[in-house]
Amino acid sequence: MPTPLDLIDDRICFHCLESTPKFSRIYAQVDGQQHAMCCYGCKAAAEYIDGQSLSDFYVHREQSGPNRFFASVAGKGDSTAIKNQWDYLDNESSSTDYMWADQRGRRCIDLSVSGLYCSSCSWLIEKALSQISSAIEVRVQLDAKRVSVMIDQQNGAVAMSRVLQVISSLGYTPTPLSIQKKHHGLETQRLLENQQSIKRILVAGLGMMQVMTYAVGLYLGELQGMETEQHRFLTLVSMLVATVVVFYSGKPFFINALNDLSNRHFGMDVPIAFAIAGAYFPSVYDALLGTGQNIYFDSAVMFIFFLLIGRYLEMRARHRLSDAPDALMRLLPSRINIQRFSGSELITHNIKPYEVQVADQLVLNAGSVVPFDANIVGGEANMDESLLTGEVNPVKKSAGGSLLAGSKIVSGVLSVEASCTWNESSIVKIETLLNQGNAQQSSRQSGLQRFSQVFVLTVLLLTGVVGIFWWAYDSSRVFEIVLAMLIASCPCAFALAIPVGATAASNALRKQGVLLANSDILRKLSSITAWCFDKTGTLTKGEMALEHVVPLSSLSEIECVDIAAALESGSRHSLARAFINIETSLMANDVIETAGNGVEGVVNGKHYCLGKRSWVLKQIDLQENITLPDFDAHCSEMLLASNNDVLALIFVSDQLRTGTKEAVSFLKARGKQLSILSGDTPLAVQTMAESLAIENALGGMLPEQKMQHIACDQAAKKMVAMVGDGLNDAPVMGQADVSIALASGSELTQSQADVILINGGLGKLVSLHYIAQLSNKITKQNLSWALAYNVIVLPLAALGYLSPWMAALGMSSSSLLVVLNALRIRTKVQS
Amino acid sequence: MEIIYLLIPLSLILLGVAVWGFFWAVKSGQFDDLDSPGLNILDDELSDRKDPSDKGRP
Repeated sequence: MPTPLDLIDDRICFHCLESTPKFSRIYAQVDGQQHAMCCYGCKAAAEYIDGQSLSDFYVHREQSGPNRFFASVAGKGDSTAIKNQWDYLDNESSSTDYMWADQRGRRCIDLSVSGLYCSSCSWLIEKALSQISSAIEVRVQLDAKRVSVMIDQQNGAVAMSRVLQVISSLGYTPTPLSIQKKHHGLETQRLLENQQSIKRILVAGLGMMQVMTYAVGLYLGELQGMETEQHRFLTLVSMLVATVVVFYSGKPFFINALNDLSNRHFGMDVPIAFAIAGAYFPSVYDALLGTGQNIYFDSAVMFIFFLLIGRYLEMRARHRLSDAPDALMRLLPSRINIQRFSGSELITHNIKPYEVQVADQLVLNAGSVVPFDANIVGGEANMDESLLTGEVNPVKKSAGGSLLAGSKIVSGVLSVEASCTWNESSIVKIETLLNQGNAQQSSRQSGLQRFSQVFVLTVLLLTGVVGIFWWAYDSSRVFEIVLAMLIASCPCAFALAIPVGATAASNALRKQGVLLANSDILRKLSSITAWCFDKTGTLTKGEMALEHVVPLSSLSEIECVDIAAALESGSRHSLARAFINIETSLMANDVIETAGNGVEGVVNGKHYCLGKRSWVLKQIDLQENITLPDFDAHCSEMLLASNNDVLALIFVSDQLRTGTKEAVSFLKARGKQLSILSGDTPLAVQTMAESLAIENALGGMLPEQKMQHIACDQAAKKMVAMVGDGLNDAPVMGQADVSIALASGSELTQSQADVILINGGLGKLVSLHYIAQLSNKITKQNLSWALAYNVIVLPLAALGYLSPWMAALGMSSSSLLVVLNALRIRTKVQS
Repeated sequence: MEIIYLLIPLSLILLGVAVWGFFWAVKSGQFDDLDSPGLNILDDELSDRKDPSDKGRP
């Protein structure tokens, strides 16, 4: 048990793997041992996990892997509001949009859960829910971030709201998905795509095994001699199985090839389709009407199987993260109770945020999110608009002011009235900006695609020419040779090289705590010349924390911090939040907060003041001949004094994230142009820029302005990368050539980003560079090998030295080589 | 070797059953999450070591 007077710096939170703030002494007991926690949210989640005997979770998760949780038990006081927010799911009438009954009579719901990053997270949820009751069945889909819950009615009445409460106690944020969305959502589409691919691979694999077995029989028959009837039988059976495989599993290739040809675009699928058709149809002719000696069903089927596997890998790499519309809706509560005038009466309605009408009334308490754009009718509150503007300091709002949807009440109560309908609200405006940004991503045909088109065309022409030549020379071998050429030329290894390299790189990055949503950026990263950073929450942690303490009397730093924490424990002011994670055993009585100046109170019988130095000095009536250390422009300071003496100067700031300096110097060393684009005040941005030695620093920027700045750079032929976290960065993600978001920020921004940094450190940008470099090198090796193989093998096939089965075998081994080479990425990263 | 006239159709029927079984599994969503079931195996091993009275706590 660590002593209470420990001063420990820079540890890692056991639960979420972020660094703990200085002076924080929050601990949680997991498996009998005390572990450091970074905040009360993590502590609550860890204690819950331990209490449910689920601490195996910490054993199994990847050590440096992605595990940032969105602990919804934030601070000591928001839990009741959170606990009751899902009660509407227990009510028959209000839950029909989200819950339904399946054929077994179970109540079912689909949840969108944020914070799910690795398989141990899904294990945790499954175990925790199954421990509540055996009547609950859970299915977790990591990639789609979806959890399906089915509750058996007969076996016991478990409230659905309890299920969501449990999920939230673990540190995740669940949101019920409405049934309509379920059927049209992108996630469902992806699910179906995944299922279809698996079915096709299954059929192709099973069919391949059958046909290969028959082929062994046929080959042996050619060596040893076989009765014609039995030979015919085997041939026909091969044809039967091959037909099923070709037309079911091979269908996507044919359809894509037809589409490509009708668009006059010679994609990879064209030669593939030609090869499959070229193996299958002549073999059918030969089996039915010919001698049955020249059948190639085995090649066709094997071909399809390996190609499908390659496509599947590619598809999985594509399907990494969830789509935007869900993330946008998750910002707001699913349902709210508003009061609406009906005639002259006020009637309460329970509605969804997008059903809001102008003049709907709502009362919002501390901790709630504003669900629609509104005018303030009464009350007073401090608002956290950080997701929208990036400002960390709360903004005071009162009657007559206006609010934007998405801002959060830090303290106070407001009575508000909706000022516009959903379609005119700021959320919809953000959505429009998002779409704009995405449209900017031009679908330029990469050099690679153009090359492959030329390659394909050349090969087809070549095959045709060689075919004609052999027809004239020795027509009995025409078919065999043309087929061998088509198979040998098939750019299977070539097509596999890129997705396989991308998958290996994604996996290596995942272990480093970096999620790759868009593997294209591996290629683009080295050509980025300009890097833009958001300030609050990106370069910094986004929250005020204790920087350092200068003791001015005999009291130690810890004792001063203890007293200060006790004094500030009730305050919601932004500076007081620096103390929120300091656990102190002291209690302060008679606390009086003087707005804008400080706080005073009685601790252990003594009276103390904490706040602006001018105010404190006046309060304690001390003479001015006390020398205090100079102001520090980078921090906010608070002076702690008792009635007789000044005790300490406490410096509080929004600290830089670990790794920020490292990342900045790394990029500067490579000659990249760096800028800070922030919604915060220009002075604050300038100060930060100076401390990091970044020349370009722009403050007070709205999302549109950030987008414009980047567009200007792009017009000047620069490739721009943007690193951001807040909601105000979401549209900018689409504009930049490479976009990077932090997992601790807005979920919407993450869904738009190409890369997500999970463990909260910009230092990972360095790993990203190295891994991207490595993967590019290996992918280039693979591409050159694949090409070389085709170039060597084609002439051999053309000259008649290669029979189709040899060509198919060669193609498979070449693909295998490509995959093995890509695995080197993993081993190299580990070292 | 006339037995293959019996065995091969039989194996094809078996294949059909296998394919049907696989399709049913895919449709019931068993292939949707291929990562976490791997951890469940380890879990059984560890919980055997723990105090059995721990299980089923509310």
